[in-house]
Amino acid sequence: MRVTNNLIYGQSSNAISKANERYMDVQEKIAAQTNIIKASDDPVGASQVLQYESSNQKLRQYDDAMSMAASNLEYQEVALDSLNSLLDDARSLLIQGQNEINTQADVDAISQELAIMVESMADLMNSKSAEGDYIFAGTDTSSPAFVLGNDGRYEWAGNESQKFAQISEGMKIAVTDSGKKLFEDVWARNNFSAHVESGEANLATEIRHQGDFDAFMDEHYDPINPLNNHYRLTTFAQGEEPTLVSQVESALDANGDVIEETAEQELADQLGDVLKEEEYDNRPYFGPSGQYVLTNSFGEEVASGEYHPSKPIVFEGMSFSINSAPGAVIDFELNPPRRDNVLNEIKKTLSIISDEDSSMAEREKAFFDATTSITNTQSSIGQGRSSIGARMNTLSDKGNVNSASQLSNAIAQDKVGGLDVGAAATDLAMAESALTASQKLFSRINNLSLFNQI
Amino acid sequence: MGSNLYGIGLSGLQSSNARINTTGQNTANVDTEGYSRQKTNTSSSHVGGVEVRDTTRLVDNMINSQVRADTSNHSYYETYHNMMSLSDGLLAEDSVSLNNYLNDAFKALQAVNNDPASPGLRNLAHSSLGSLVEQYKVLSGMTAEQSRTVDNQLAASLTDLNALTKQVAKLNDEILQQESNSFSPANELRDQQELLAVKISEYIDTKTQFNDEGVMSISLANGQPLVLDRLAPELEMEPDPLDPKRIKLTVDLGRHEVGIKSEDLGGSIGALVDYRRDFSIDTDRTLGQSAISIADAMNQQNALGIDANGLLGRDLFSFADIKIQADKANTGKTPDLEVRVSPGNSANILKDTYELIKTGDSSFLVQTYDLNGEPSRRTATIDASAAPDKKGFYQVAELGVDLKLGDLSDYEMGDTFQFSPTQGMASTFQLAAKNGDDLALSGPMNVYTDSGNLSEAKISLSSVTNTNPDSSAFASNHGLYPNAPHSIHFMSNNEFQVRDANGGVLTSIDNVQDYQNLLEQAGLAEKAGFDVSLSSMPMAGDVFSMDMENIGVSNNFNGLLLGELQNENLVAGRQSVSESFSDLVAQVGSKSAELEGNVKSSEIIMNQSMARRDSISAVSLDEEAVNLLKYQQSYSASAQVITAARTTFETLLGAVR
Repeated sequence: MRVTNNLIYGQSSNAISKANERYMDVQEKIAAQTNIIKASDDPVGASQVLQYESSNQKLRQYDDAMSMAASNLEYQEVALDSLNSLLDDARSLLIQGQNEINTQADVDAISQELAIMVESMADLMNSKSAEGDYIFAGTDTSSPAFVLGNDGRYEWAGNESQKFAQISEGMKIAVTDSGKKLFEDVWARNNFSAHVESGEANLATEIRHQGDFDAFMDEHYDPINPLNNHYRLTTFAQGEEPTLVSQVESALDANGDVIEETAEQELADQLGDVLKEEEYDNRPYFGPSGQYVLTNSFGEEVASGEYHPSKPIVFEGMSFSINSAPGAVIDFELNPPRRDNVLNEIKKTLSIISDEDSSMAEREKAFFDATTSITNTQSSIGQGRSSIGARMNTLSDKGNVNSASQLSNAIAQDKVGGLDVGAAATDLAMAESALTASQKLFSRINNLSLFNQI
Repeated sequence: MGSNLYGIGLSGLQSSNARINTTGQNTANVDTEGYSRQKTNTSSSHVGGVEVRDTTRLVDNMINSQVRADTSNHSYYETYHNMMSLSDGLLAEDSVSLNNYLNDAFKALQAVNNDPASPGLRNLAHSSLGSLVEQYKVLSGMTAEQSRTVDNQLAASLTDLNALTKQVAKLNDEILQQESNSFSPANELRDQQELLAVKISEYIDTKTQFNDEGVMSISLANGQPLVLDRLAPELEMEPDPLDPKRIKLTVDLGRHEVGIKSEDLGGSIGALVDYRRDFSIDTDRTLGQSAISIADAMNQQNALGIDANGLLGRDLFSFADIKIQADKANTGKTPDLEVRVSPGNSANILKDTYELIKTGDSSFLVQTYDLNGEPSRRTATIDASAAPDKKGFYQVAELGVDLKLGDLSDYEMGDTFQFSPTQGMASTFQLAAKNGDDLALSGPMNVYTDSGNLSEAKISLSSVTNTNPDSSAFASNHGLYPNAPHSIHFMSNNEFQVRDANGGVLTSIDNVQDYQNLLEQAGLAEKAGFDVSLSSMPMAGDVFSMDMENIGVSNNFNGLLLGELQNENLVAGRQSVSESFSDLVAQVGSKSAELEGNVKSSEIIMNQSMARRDSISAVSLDEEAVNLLKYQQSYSASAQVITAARTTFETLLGAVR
């Protein structure tokens, strides 16, 4: 091959510029601490790095959401905890108030203290977060969850929705709990009402065993057809036959439609109840015993037994003291289960116990109503707290997973796009020596001309 | 005899002189670009002495044409790579990467979901969405800028190329004139002409031929002439009438113009044309597709919620109209044709060019063409005899567009219109939301569990699918239509009735096993546009109800669904928006990497051909130094011959004396 000047100079200038280029490339990579300066350095890697980075940013975003969620839940936890201990205090005050030695003045003092406690409870139920949101108001957080109405009742004013936080790609977690579920929809004490339909009776009723009665309610209460909640207790002398009437049939007219109770009848029923209460005679009745039978609304026998006038008849936790000779017909019905918040229940109790004219039985019922509501609210709060606790655990688990994923992402990102320092240092040394070598070569070639010799 | 010796000596001096001249010429032009070393040819004369015949260039036409082909190839890859490397370097950059802006936007959305009542966070989310939109514009602006650069370069290259071909044609003329007056070929002119030919092949791939007289003619690889003897037809560029983003190249042959195929042109012009078609347009459309996908998905989702002002969400993003080009050959009047992205069907939108053709009295065909102009298999037909929607649009959901045809009598059979729904869309991307209040973070309704319920089952909103007042339970004046589902009454734990606002029974369902999506089980979910679920088994007498009141400021039902769009496969139904961008980066990167390889290999090949050309035609100073000494010697020797002739003659004279 003919070696020409173009070739000699062209080749060495090429070599020098190539060596320079290589040197600059390595230098740039070292300066940026990455193997991927341009997407073309490693197209797949560049897109992977972007994906890892995206994924990490997403994870950090979930981190933020989780810390927000945790602080929300902690707020609730604190409020519920304080409410729970307030309820404990209220219960012991109520038990103290139940003591028959208390004078009305003592009871008034207790009820005043309770009234203040109710206000603090209401304040806790209307807790606000740092952002000024009412945390138990569902999503309607700009106004209080419970509002004191003109009638002195605390009315639920929030909604049932929950606020959620996205804590991972496929997982949402509720960060608020509605006060409706926690406080408002708490069962009040189940009850029944009775009146003397015919015959002579000095009737007093109470719930002897609330548990038995609740179980009976659960099983037999019919929300669709209220007539099925009517029962009849008939007492009769030994050897007589009672007439069993189906209330369901008698409530229907010839066409099978329900006969509406007239306004007068309804009034009479109510007045009857009141009169019976007023006429109630504390003196025990002694007389001949007899039999009783308890029928349901179809006139079918549900229970029967001996009737001793001085002893109450107890049926599924309900106790009937009739205190009269056999031959009375007593109708009773299961009152629809009722939900209300503990504030109203306590306030109702307070209004009864602070009334001097309230009877012992009424007071007892009132105390019982309030403690039942407190117990039920505490169990609802307990459920709420355990659910919050479970969510906090989920958050901390997810948080751990999140930081682990972020770390592994960062490692993977570094593996793909990070600078291989050893390789880069070697490359740099090689590029450097290549550059020096080609420069030296050039200066040698420069002197290699025959014209220099002649 | 003596005079002959003088003659021989003189011819020797002359030939040596000529050779020294040639050597001088060679050494002087050692660095002249395109110079081919020359050689003076002599022959011995039958009358004695030496005859200088001519001075010719040492060239190999085969190798020279190889040099031109390889130059053209290298120039193609180098230009392409240069254009690509701009995007290559930028796209992987953090501050440019669309993914960062996407992540920021969704992060802000999550933050506002944590506190939907905060106007500050709402506005932060709004401005983050604004930055996302701006970034789409920046990226699409970058591609548009590059397209403009390409167009300018193309125009400049064509001007340059046309000047070069003119010079070649002119040199053809000069070479003929000079060679007819001289024995020696017009060496320098031919060198110049060949150098021009190499420069031309840098611009475009050519074939060069010489006729019997040695006149150079140049044609494109596909046969279109660039230099014909003394003529140089001009190469011109003009926009494609059906698609102004595309260009057509034509050769002006004086009486008529001939369009040339724009594929495989080679050289830097070929690279610019290919870059424009394969990358510039593709990137623009990829960005457009991505922008349309995210905008449509967010608009659809936003419409399913309630914004901070208590109204059903409006569009968060908007676009300019899709531009339509009518074929010049259309015979109908210009119709009132409009195209828009079909709301909710953006996943079906293609990067293709769409063509609408009237195929029957009231039928139209929509055909799609991919970026290479090949028809794809995706087509759709429009039956214009059916009634369009309220605004006059026919939905072509399978291709992701809605078409408004206007007056059908304006169309003639075979009329053709083209549009590319994704083209330029990223640059017209707008944030339509005025401020953070327009984000519809809240669910559209409220559900209630009746306090008299015996069970502990809670109702929750499980989905919202439609809030359009024309086709759902949601009335335009805020509230549910009275005949829409308002409450659900359980007769027993597996029987329920759905009732309207007045307590009328809409439907009764029994044998219920599962308490999820009750309205769907009742066959009402689609009509209502929402559905509800229960948390556990209800009991007889339980009542659950729903309305649009009292939704509250902290509801983030819809906000979370907006946030989930980040992970959904929105782009063409296959990729999330960030994946689609990563893909674009990988695509640019791999194309650049491929081109980088091509540049290197084509450079080596080109350098090798140059070296081969140099080894034949370039000057070697060492060689010339040897030649110089050699010709100096032969000159001295010839001078000695003359001295010898003189001595001989004087000796003869002395002998006579």
